Amino acid sequence: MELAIGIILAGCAIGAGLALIAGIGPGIGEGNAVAKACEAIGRQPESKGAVTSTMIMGCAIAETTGLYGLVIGILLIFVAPNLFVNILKNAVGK
Amino acid sequence: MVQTLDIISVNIWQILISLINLLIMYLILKKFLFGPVQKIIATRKQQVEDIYTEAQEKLGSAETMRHQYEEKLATARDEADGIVRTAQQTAQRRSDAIVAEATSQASHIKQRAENEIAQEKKQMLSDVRNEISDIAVEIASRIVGREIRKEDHDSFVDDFIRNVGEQQ
Amino acid sequence: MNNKSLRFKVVDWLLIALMILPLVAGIALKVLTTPASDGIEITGARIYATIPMPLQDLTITESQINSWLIMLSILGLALYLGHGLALKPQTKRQVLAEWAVEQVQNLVSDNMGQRFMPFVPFIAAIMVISAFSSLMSLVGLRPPTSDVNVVAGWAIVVFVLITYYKLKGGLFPYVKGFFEPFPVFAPFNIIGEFSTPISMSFRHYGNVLSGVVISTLIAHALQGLSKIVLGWLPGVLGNFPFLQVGLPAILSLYFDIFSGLMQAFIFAMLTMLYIATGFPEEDYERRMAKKRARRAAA
Repeated sequence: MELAIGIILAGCAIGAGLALIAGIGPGIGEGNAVAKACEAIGRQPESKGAVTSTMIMGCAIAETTGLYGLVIGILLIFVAPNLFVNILKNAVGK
Repeated sequence: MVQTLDIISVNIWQILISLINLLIMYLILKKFLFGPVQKIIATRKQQVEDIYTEAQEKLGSAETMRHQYEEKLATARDEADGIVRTAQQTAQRRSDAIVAEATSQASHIKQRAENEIAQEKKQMLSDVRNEISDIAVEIASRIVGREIRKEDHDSFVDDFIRNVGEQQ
Repeated sequence: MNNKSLRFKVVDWLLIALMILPLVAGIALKVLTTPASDGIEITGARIYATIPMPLQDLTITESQINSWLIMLSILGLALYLGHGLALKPQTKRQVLAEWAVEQVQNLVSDNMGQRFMPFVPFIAAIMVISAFSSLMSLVGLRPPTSDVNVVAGWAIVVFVLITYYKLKGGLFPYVKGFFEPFPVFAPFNIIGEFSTPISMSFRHYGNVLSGVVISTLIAHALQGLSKIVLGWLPGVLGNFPFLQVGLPAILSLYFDIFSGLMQAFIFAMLTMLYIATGFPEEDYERRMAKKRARRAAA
């Protein structure tokens, strides 16, 4: 029983860690976006305002995938262990 | 123990409540903020437009008035020019006529004077001729001592005098 | 004159009170009902009451209470900005109100086009309710936007609007849109269609929730740290978390103010873009031409 619970907790923790790998994609993407924005501002300093606001918009949208990972991670850490342990207890109890 | 929801929990009634909340928020903002403010802005815009069109109209009427005045002024100037020109022409004509008349009168007078002078000269010449012939006849009669007939010698004397006159 | 201005002042102060009192009430409710506890607890919203309903029990939670409070607060703000307007702006608040209204109008006309001008209050409502909900964490309350149900409700409104405007372009083009570029793509297109509200709600919710989680973690960490570092102080002073006083404010600068406002703006922006692309200009023109023709025939 304890072993099973331990496996559940470990699995959830590892899963959460893996889920946060999703942060890589938005990181690279946003880095690219900012680099291009910097280039654009360097080329046309007068369009700084428009470029900056568009970049922030794009970054925030690109962050979505990372946030999915984050939500899954939070789920796995704070919600899933209780849920799975309850399921296990019910199964064993029966 | 405090009861809490799970960190992610889906509850359709809560979703419904939040949905209705947003719609209520929309109505609140529309009724209390956006409605009045947009109305005020529209009214102000209308007012400004009215003022502008009024100003435009006034400007237009002022422009037409100016045109009218300018036209009137131009015609008045033309008229004045015409009047002055006719007056000048009349004066010119009259002065020309006066001068011409004066000139013709002067030439008449001159002509007459010349004629008179010529007449008198002729008279004088004939008088002188007569006298000279008389004198010549007298002298000749004195020299000859006898009376020469005046009538016989007149032609001779005349020739003599003419020759004298020509030699002179 | 004097009487009128006095009355105006009284109304002003009442409305300002209406803006602030809900927040005070929320803080009071939280302080009074939260038992003192140690240890980290990262959970969902607190449940105040449970009302039995068909399908699923309705739980009245902190999120609901807080969103009602913030709505009251916004009602006060709207009334404060919107009352006693004069044709010639005499007060700063009228200038502010007109500036805000014109800002939203410009945003909508830039992103959606002139034909969507009736959407101005709706977009403003999304922005205001989202921004103020996220900013609630500044006064120590739980932001309603960190509850997925709240944001999902808004996303569903947006989804209904998107679908409505797509259907306005005609039922056949709408259905046909799912089978493009090939009929094989139909399942993916349908999933993509339904992922719009889900991604919108999860984006907003995840951003705010991450702020809440990290703030809680930092707060507890600082509490522990101040116990370790300053624990030697005598009596109550030793237990008082001094390090918790100023530092979380710096974090909240990013997680609450920047992230909250950004997400509010993005939610509104995506709403505008989705709705505007769902009902393009040509469809609108065609529809108006048809309507005009029908009116001319009648």
